[in-house]
Amino acid sequence: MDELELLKKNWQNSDQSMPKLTYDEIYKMIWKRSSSIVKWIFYISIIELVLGVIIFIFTADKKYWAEMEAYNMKGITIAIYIITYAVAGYFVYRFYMNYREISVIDNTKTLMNNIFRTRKTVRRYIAIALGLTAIYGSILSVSMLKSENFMNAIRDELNQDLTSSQWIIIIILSIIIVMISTLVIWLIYQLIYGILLRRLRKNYKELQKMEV
Amino acid sequence: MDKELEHSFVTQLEHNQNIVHKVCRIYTNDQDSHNDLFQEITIQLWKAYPKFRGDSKLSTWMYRVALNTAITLYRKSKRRINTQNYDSVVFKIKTNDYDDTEEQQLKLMYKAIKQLNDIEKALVFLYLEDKNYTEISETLGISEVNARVKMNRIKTKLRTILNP
Repeated sequence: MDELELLKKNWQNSDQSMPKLTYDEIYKMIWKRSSSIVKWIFYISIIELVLGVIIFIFTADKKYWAEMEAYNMKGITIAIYIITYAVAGYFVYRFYMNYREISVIDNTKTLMNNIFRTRKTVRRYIAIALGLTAIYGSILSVSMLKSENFMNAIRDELNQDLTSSQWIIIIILSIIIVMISTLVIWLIYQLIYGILLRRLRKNYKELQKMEV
Repeated sequence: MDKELEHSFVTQLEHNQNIVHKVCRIYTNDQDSHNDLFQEITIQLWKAYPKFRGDSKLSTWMYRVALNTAITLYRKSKRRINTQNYDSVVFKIKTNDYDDTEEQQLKLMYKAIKQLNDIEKALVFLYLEDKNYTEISETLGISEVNARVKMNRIKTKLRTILNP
């Protein structure tokens, strides 16, 4: 192709037309902050990884433990805590190992793969954390409904017992609320990563297309 | 030791800065974005420099880091979409050795390349730098055959853009 060959010739002789940065200008640049997506992914992932743990620490005060005891939930709550910390610990380790493997001197495809793998680790962690929360929430609700204290509290409040159809409505409403909030969290999640990784995904697909 | 490393890095980059400028020229449309991308590539090169052992050529290593930064790591911000300075960037390419038709052709060629996607630009860049398909395939992580096929498709695509 003539034009491309012409450009190639011109391209290789274009050195004079390029900007010339001085030693000092380059020296200053190496201390500037990077704004690479890997850095963003790192910070956001760290926030996600510690978020669950932080929420646990702040909600679990003395009153909370007293309530758990009243509903006979202390044992299972402690068990859930231990599982959550173990899971978080495992994922922080996996995340760190994957993150360390991201290297700008790899070839483009490997680099992209490593970035996606790091993200996948955090996504799996979020899924498992949500799952654990759902299981724990269900156990907690069932125990509350079964406990005398809770039933008495409702009876005092309403001056009457709830009929079974009222119970069904309450249960269905709770399920809907849980589903909607999960959906909202999931949408926000997709939005953040959609924006952050859009270009990366597009380029990755482009590379994959070549391999078919 | 650190001072020595800094000095050798900055000196080497100063001598080879054209490689980075050329990548910026392919991937950006105005001076601000050019400078932005140049800075990000410099940061990435500096971060990776301690691992550069000298067993590969410095230029090969720079191609890789610069392209990876442009394609994968770099985040374009909104203001970088602005293309009003586009012509001034393109016109810097012209040299006095060429007559008007050649100049015109080069200008159109540049415009056509800007319409390619990021991966295609990387292939064109390495092609313009006269890299062989082995090096192109190793840089991007695709097979040599596929790099060759893709390059031919890009040439066809450019031809279509130029002669609709």
